[in-house]
Parts: sequence; C-alpha cells; structure tokens
Amino acid sequence: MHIALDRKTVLIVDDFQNMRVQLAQMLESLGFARQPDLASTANEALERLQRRRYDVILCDYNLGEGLHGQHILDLARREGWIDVATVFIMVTAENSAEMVMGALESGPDAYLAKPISKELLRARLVRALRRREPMVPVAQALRQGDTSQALHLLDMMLATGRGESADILRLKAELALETGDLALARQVCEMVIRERPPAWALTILGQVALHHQDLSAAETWFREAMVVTPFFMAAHDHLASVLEQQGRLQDALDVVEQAVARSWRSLSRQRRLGRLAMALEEWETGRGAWRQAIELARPLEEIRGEDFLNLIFCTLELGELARAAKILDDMRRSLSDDPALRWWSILGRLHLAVHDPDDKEAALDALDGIMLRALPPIQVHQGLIAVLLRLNEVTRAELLRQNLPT
Amino acid sequence: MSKLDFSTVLAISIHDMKNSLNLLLGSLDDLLEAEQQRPCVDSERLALLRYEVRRVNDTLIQLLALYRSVKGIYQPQFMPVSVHDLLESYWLNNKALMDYRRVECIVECDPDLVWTLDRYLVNSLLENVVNNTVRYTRQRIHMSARMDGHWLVIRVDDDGPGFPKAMLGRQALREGARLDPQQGRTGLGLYFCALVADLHAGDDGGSGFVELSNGGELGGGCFTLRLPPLPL
Repeated sequence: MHIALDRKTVLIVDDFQNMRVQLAQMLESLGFARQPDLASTANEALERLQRRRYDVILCDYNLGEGLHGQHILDLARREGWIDVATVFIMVTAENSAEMVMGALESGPDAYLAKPISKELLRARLVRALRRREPMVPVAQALRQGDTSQALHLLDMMLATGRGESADILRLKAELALETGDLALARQVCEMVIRERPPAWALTILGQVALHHQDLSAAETWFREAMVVTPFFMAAHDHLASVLEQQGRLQDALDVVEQAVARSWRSLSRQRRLGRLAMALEEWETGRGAWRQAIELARPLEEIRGEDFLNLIFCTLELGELARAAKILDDMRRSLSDDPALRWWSILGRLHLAVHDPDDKEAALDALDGIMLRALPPIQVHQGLIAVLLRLNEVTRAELLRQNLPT
Repeated sequence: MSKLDFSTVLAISIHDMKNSLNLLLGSLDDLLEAEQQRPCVDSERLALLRYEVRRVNDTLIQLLALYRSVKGIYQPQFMPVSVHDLLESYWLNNKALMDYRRVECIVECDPDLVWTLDRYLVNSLLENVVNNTVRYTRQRIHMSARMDGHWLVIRVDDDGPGFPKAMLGRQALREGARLDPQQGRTGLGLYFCALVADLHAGDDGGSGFVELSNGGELGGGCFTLRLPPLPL
C-alpha cells in the first residue's frame, strides 16, 4: 500500500527547541510537505490537539516538570482528540521501563529512543501509517457517534482484506462490549482465540463473563490473559476487582502488588493497592501506595484530600507521629485551592489527636467552631464519624450521624 | 556540595551531552547524504567525524552504566522486548553511515520473537559492537537473533579480517578481573559487553555471556551474545 506523506498533518511536541527543529527538518526531507505544528509544553500540546485533528503526533516523553508524554496520550485518547486512525509516536531519551509497558496496552504506535535517524523515523512512520490509515473512515464514523456504521465499515474491511485484521477484530470486540452487544463481543473473541490467543481477547471474554455475573469464569479468563502476556495490565486490574467483589481481599492485594511491580505509574492502581492494604492492615504497603498515588496525582491535578488522609492514617499506624504531622502540612499546601480543605485539615488533625492526646481538646474545639457554620461535605462526613468514635467522642459522632444526608 | 550524589551529576551531564551529540549525528547524517549527491567536501573526514561522535556517545553511556554497576546502584529494567525491533532500530539508526561506507546490513530475526531483557543495556552493547564492525568489515554485516534451546542468541557477523587472536573466546567477567590499560578502549568495550551479558542472570543461576570468534557466517569476525530466559 502506498502511503502519501505530503498531505499529512503533524504535531511535534518537545521541550527542546533544537529537537523540534530537527524533527521538523527530518519530516520535510521525508516528504511531509505541510509545515508541522509545534508545541513545547504538555499544555500547549493538549490545546492544539483539542483544536484540530492530526494524522501524526511525534511526542517527547520527558517534558520536564508536570505532565509527560504518556499523560498527553491518555488524556487525548480519553477526550477523543486522538482516534483509532491517529499515529502517535513517542520519543524518549532512554529506553525506560514505561516504553515496553505502554507498547502492550494503551501505548503509542512506536517508541523511538534518541538519537533518532531519519531512516528509523521513516520506517516507523510508514509502518504505523500502514496500520492506521485504513481506519480513517471508521474514526470518522465514531467521531459522529455512529457506532453501527463503524462496525459496518470494520466488517467491510475484514471482507475485503483491508487493514490489519488483528486491529480490526480488536476494535470490533471493544465497540461491541461498549455498546452492550455481549454476544457479538464474545463471538469475535472466541473466533480470535482459536489460533494464538491474544491477551486482549481473553480479557474481553472475561469482561463479558463479568457482565453475566459469572465471576469464576471471569477470573479464569483474566488469569489466562496474564499468562499469555504478563504485562497486560488491564487483565490485572479487572482480576483485582473480581477478587475484591468476592471479598477475597488477600488475593486481590497479591494481584495488585504484582501489577504495581510491573507498572507502577497508574493512579487508580495505586489507590486500589492503598485501599486493599489498609483493609488488610498492611500499613507499610499502604503507605507506599498512597505516597505514589499522591505523586502521580500531583501533575494531573487530581490529588484528593482522601489520598493525604489515608497516607496520614497509615503513617500513624506505623507509629510515626512527627512524619504524619508533616504530611498534614504538605496537604494544606497542596490542596490550597480545594474548597473542602478546612474539612480535610480538621479530619487530619483529629486523626493525629488519636495518637497525640495533648491536642485532642484543641482539635475538638476547632471542629466545633467549623461545625457551627456548616455541615461537612459528604466525602468527609463518614471519616469524621469514624475518627470521633476512635476518640471516644460518642455524642459528637452520633450528632454527625443524625445529620448524614440520605 | 559534600552530599552531592555523583551518580546523578553524571546522569544529568551525560543526558545533556547526549542531546548535543544527537544533533551533531543528525547533521552529519544529512551532510553525508548530501555528499553522495555532489561530492565536494572531504567526505572521508566527514565519515570519520561521524564515527568519532558515535564513539563519544557510546563511551558516555558505558561510563554511566559501569559507574552505576560498580557502585551497585544499577537497577536493570528487565522487560519483554521485540528482538526484531531492537536489531532493526539499531540498523536504521546507523544506515546513513553504512550506506556511505557501502556496507550492506542484513537483519534476520522472527518478528514475533519477544525476549525479556534490559533494552537500554543490550542496545548500548549493540552500539558498541556494530559501530566497531562497520569500521572493520568489508562489505557486509549480518545481525541475527534466534532461540537456541531456552536461550536467546544474538550474533553480529562480518566479512572483515576478524578479531586478533588474543581477543577470541568467551569474555570472562571474573571477580577481580582487571582491565588491561594496553588494550585501551577496546578492553573497556569488551568489559562493558561482558558486564551487560552478566547482568542478565536467569533463575537457575546461569548468566548471559559474550563470545568472539572468527570465520563465522560471512567469514570474518563473529560476536555472539547469549542470554538466558529471565523470569518475569
């Protein structure tokens, strides 16, 4: 298949000006006739992606402080600015662990480690475009919200042998699952796994079983997917939630710990690990998970008071009062824009008071002062009741319970 | 400054120097390509320049890896990697120089062959080996990878004059083995390759190793890297 490069729209994201210029020059000499758009920060890149659709994105992984390349890819995919026909190539300074991880699931089409030669860039671009370009009409249909047209186009491609059949079948199964056509999703995956079963098909079969409330079948599928591809993280995450639903917390914790060892850069995975570890009173593991969660959430601006409170709780259980106080200070700085900060703050102070009786009366006075003016927001309410009970403040706890919104 | 972590200083400096070197390499590739269309500059010197820049780049990578390994702070990142992509990337990154020297390179590997290894280390090893091979081969280089029993074998064959006798055989990485200053950078490069192989230690205690031989597939030198299966 011939790939016409001259009309392709390109976005280059790199914080290093020389690198942007060099990549732009390389593209020009490879036959890309249109001037590429350039972005030097993640935010600039996201703004541009929001404004228009690109055929090709060349993105540096390490963009200094804040968001990195994988964040851009995740956010843009979630928002639909990057679709099934977009080529996304990640440029990295070194071969980091994240490179391969991503390649197996929600990753880019290719990773290019610097130094990048023109030949390598050409080979990877052409390979990716060959896979992605036949998907252009499908992407168009999906952008218009026309899933059934997209499915129809995918079937046409399969019938005429256009495009990469593994990609087409996977997208077909994903769309079927998304729209609730479980029978179709299952049919596609069962056909695919007859040969060499790919982890994605086994995982979708697990999800279908999950929809049918067949938890043990789901568990088997997810575990099989993990055997086929140990780094297929989606299977780990689904399996953990199946085990959690069954109340098998220790098993769930084991799976999530393994998942985090394989790929730690997932906020939701770290939060799940933190929750499970706390339920099982594994305070050291819990503390590690909440610390990581906070660091992952910071650049995304998704940091929550709960993350800090949980970290404080684990730290206190490990008997480190002074350190817990420092975390409380960090929370006050980090959440200065959060309207609920004073609530999180008083909740943290009360937790400290459980281990530091000298501050108990003052902390309770402070709580009463705040409560005079307002009721706590829902996400703090339960936590306050729990900590008051630990402080033996039964009356205050009861009062709060009566005020719980239903 | 007393608490300065020198490993970090090295990492930052090398990262920065590599950025500069990359730009230099890119420009040199362009010049070499232009040169083939209208030869007027001293192209032999251009090629030499490129080779030397590449060497500086490789030495920096080695320096950092060796320093960290000696200090016991190198944490290998073992990940499943497509071996074909690894070899092909290396070839494509150096195609300009190979074309200029009229060296033909063939990559032979099953596209589905996936192996657990430290990509960065093995890539640095390849850079070391192939950059040298391009210098000494006559016309051809053959990069290949395959499974041999439960092990992975990566080979680089050439049709050059082969390695000096003293260098042949398995490159040992014994406790207390010393670098021979007489061998200079070659010794360091081989030590680095042996170290990279050794860091790939399998479950059953077997570690990877490196061998040099002559009269391989293309009749010249043959570099062989053998890696054990690593548990995930």
